[in-house]
Amino acid sequence: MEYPKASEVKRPISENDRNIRRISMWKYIANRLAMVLIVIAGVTLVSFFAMYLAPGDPAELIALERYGQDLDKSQIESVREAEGLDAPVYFQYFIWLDHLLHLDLGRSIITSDDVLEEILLKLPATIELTVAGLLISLLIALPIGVLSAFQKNILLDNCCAFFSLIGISIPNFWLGILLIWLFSLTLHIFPSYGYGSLSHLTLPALTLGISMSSITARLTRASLMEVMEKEYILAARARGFDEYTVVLRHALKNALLPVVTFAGMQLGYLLGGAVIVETIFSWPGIGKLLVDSIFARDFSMVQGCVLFIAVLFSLSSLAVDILYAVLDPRIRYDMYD
Amino acid sequence: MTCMTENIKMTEKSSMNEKRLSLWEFGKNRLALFGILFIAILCFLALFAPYISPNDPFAQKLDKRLLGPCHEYPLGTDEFGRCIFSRVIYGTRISLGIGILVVAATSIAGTSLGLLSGYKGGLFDEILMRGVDVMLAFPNIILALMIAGLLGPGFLSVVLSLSLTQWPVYARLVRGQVLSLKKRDFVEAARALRPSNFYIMRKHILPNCMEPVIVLGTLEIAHVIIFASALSFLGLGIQPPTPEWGSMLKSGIPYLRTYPHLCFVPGLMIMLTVFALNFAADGLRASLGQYAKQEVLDR
Repeated sequence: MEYPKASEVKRPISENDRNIRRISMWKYIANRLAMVLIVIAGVTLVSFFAMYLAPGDPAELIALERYGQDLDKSQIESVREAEGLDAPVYFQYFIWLDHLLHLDLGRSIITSDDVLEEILLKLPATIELTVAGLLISLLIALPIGVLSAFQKNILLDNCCAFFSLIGISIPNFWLGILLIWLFSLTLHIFPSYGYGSLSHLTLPALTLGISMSSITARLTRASLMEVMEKEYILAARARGFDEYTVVLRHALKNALLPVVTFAGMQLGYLLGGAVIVETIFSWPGIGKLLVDSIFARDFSMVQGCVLFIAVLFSLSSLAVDILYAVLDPRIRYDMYD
Repeated sequence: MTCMTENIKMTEKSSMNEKRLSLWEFGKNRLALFGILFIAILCFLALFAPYISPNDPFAQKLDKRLLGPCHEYPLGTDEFGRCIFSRVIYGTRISLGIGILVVAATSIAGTSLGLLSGYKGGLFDEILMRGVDVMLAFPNIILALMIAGLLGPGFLSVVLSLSLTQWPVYARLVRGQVLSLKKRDFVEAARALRPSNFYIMRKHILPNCMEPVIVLGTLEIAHVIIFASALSFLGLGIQPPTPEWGSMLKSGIPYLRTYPHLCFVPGLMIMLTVFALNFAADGLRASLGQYAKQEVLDR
């Protein structure tokens, strides 16, 4: 007698999962991709039209930056014509979008540098900082999360909880100043600003990492505690493995999946946090470029930076989602609910 | 017909009792209590700042620059000889003011949009949720930074930039709540009476998704205070000489080596305030219903 294969058995559809459909991985990826494209289109809309929040006539503002205070009408008009500001707004948007599709983010109003080139020039420093921050946050968070998940000692568990609350509450600019005061001005171990060596990287990366680690630690703890309730842990215990093998080989591997995904998602938030950290530590990345351009009222550079960061963030979360779907097929079930 | 409404009222009443019980739970949570107490003190300081502060926060006394804590100046003076203690107290007004204003505006706007979007569904829902996705695609304060930068510094531009960027969080949360609530039996029962959609939303759905909104709102006050002081710290928000914690922190940096209290006092104030708000939110989350626990944690 032949038994049907497991994959052929129809899953009974219960009351609870009537809205849950299983979809293939390619379909899932296609769905996510479409969603990200829509979001990116929206991001271009927001970053384009946000420029109109600046009070005053854009042509006059640009002319002011270029020619200084005493302007005459003809200068403003020539700027308006040169920058294409005489066309209707939606027309300007499509022209801008067309340039964008050809990877042309325009030129800086102040320095006339190519915006994209300038951003790509600063990108390595920002990536260096965010990746270092991410590593540090994992290095801090994983031991704390694991320790507090298994700690019978209430005091230690409370300490971990307290630490994670501090980490959430402390603004990164304040943490950065504290670290500068302690390690740079008092102990003279690390330099407080600059770029180039590992010692320059330490303080900014610590600032980013510590503020991110508290959430990751919380997540690790919650995820690990959930996994430890599972039956396969009971099974592993029944097979006579000692506690360390159970935790390290069976539990941690499964518990880390959401943590790793979350860490990937945090990359975007790290990018946001990097703006402030880069400004404090004079780290020559995109964040500092953005803040400097805001002060210089370099609109096209601001627009370019914001757009670039948002697109990078969207793409990185897309990558994480796809990776997650590949690693854990269950995620695809609850696409529509 | 009256019987049914009475039934509904009765269940509402019993849930009121539960709430009173869980407030007792809230009282037992010491840290949450500390949080609420601290916030109450801050509110008191903000309201009565002119009567509490020992000195004029704007008065510059150049012969008394950079003093340490003393009898006349409890927390010392800054680089212009202004009383740090008084400035911190006046700063409470600005930080709490921005926090409450922004959270009031965004929670009302976000909740209404989320309510409508979840209840109506269809194209409106689709468009609004894509809009929310777009807004959340700008990480952290990047968008607020850009808007504040474009509008130029000032109280109004901080409030506006944070309001424009913080509403999607509520819309998404409330929409999720509404989607699960509108399938529930009590909404079906209420619908049997054929009231207007607006009535169902206001009377039956909205009250049931308030708990997570309250928790989120408390957390959001903390976020907004951090963001607002970050904007001021970067020089895009409240400008000196107005006493604001973020800008006080910034102007203290050049004196960090020799007079660290210029930075420490405002920095600690921001941290403690956010700390207290987080504790309060945690306590609220623990004492409110199951919904609040789940949804807000997922965020």
